[in-house]
Parts: sequence; C-alpha cells; structure tokens
Amino acid sequence: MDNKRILLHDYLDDALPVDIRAQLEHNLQNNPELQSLLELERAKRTALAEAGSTFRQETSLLTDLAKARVLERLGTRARPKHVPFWKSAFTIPVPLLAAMGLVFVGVLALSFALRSPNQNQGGIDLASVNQGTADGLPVVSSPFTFESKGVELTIQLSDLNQLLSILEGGTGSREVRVSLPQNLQLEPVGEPMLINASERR
Amino acid sequence: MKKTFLALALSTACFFTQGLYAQAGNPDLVTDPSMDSLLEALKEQALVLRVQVRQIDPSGRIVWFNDMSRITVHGRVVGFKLEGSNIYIDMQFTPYRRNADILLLVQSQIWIKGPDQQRLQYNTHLSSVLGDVVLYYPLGRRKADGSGPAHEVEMEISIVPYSSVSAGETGN
Repeated sequence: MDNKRILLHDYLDDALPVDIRAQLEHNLQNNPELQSLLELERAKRTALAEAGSTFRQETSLLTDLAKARVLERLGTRARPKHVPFWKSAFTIPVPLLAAMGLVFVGVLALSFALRSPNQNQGGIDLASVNQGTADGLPVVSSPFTFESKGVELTIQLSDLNQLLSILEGGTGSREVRVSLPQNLQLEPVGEPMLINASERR
Repeated sequence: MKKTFLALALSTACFFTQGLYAQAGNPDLVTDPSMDSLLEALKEQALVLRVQVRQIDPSGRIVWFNDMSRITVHGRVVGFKLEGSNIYIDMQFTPYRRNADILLLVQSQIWIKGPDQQRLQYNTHLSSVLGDVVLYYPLGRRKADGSGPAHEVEMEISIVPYSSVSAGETGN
C-alpha cells in the first residue's frame, strides 16, 4: 500500500459510498492539492486528539472506581483478577489449608443434611430463581431509587450504563447517522459556516 | 482407597475455599457505599448534545426536519453523518469547557457530486464558536435577502447539562 492509499484509509470509513470512494481514490492519485489538504486535515486531527487526551486520562481514572462502586451498589461483585490455581493454593500454610478444607466439608455435609424437602425431591425453588439472573446476579428493577442526605435520587439504569460507557471510552453509540430525503439534489450555497444562534437572521 | 478419597475431597474443598478467600480479599473491590456522591459527580459532567437539522427551500420553508441527541462529556466527540442522494457529510462535534462557557468545535468533511454525477467536490472545514446554542451550515448560508436557487441545510446544535434534562428527553 503506497503513501497515498495509507493517507486515504486514514480518512475514509467503510460507510462511504463505493462510487464516491472510487472517484476520490482516482482524484487522490492525480491531485497533489487534495493530498496536501488531507495531510492538513490529519495534522488538525492529531492536534485535536492531543487536546482531548488530557481530559480522557482524567476520566479514565474515575471509570474503574465508578464501575466498581455501581456494581457493588447493585449487589454484584467486581470481577476479581485471575489468580492461577497453583499460586493461590500455596500462598497459605498446608495445615491451615487442611483445617479450612475440613470446615468446608463439614459445612457441605451439614447443608446437605438440612436440605428442604422440596429440594430433596429434586424440585426447584422458584422464589430463589426469581431473585436472580442465570449468572446468580440479582435483578435490579429500573428506575433505581436511593436516598442521599434526605433527597431521593432516581436513576434510570439505561442512563447509568450509558454514562459509564462514556467514561470508559466506549464507542459506537456516540455516532448519529441521518439520511436526507433522496429526491432532492443539494448543492453548496457557499462556504461552511458556524455561528452563534444569537446571530440568526 | 478411603485415604485417597479423603485426600481428594480435602484438596477439592481447599481449592474452593481458597477461591472464596481470594475473591473476598480482592483489593480492587471497592466497598465504599458513598455511591450517591459519585453518581451525582457523573451526572454533573455529562452533557446532552442535541442536533436539529432543517432543510430549507429557496422560499424559506422548512421541507425536512430531524431531531437527534446524544449524551457526551467535555472533550468527547459526537459524530454526525448526513447522507443524501448526491451528498455525504461527515461531522464531528466536540464540546469543551472554557471557563463558564462551552466551546463547540466542529470538524466536517463534505463530498458532493455534481448534477452530471461525474464531478466530485470535496470540502473540509474546522471551526469553533462559544455558546450553548449554535448554528452550523455545512453547505453554506444564503445571502441575507434569502435569495438563491439552492436548498439550505441548517443545523441547530444545543448543549445542555445532562442533569437539567429529564431521562425521556435525551433521545437515546
């Protein structure tokens, strides 16, 4: 892939209509002005990305904290870091391990002995199923209301998830795609213009 | 045989117990219950960027209208693509906090095919303006007397704090 094509791929995404893309590729091959224009655009984007990165770094620090707290509040657990089996099994002395194992077996035996008649018959406790998802996580109804300093706050879970995804730097949901009516041929009136609404005619 | 079974049961029990122990002692698990203040902080940072697009005919009549909004935060881009039969406009709106005001940065790339479907026009634009309600004309703005044969595309972009907009108005 030559430099021109690399440059082109920096700017165009797959959503661009194929015929326009082909036309632009052709123009780019033969038009140094367009190349320099795209290079200028790339320089602008780099400068903008650098300006925005400081803010993103600040928000990313908040993200982990926010997610863990929200999950905790919703009754779920933050997923622990993976600890290899062999490492976790030998971090405490063997006698202590043995004692813990015995206690575990005892509790297991006790719970087996005290099972409810319904469970002993192989039935399913529907009440416990309804309280949780298949992952064992509790179901939280939306909106989610809690009280703070005497004020009742209500959070829509969809909003909460969206806020978290924004702070996590998630992509995909930020883009808006709108189709204009197909029966109208548009043409430029002049140069693009950005003004404050107070300057509206 | 019994000894082997006992050893196996013991090691299995130890394994599961260790798993529970490791999970309960995970230092990354934050148990601070003050989520209310955190949520408030999150909501205070968020903004709702609303874009209303109008296509205005030469007589000044609005012939097409679209209204969309997205939640974002300062410094985070909201992409907006506008597609027509002979036009493709790729815009990026980025709100920045500037003292007490909002600075909106707009980048756009515009591809337009001419009436003969052969000539392709490309335009790029970068501009910024202070204000929480701004107007953007990606194809330019007609003269003050409204004259001109072409349709005008007007985009009204308003930025308001998320906390001041009810959940149903975010349009997401």
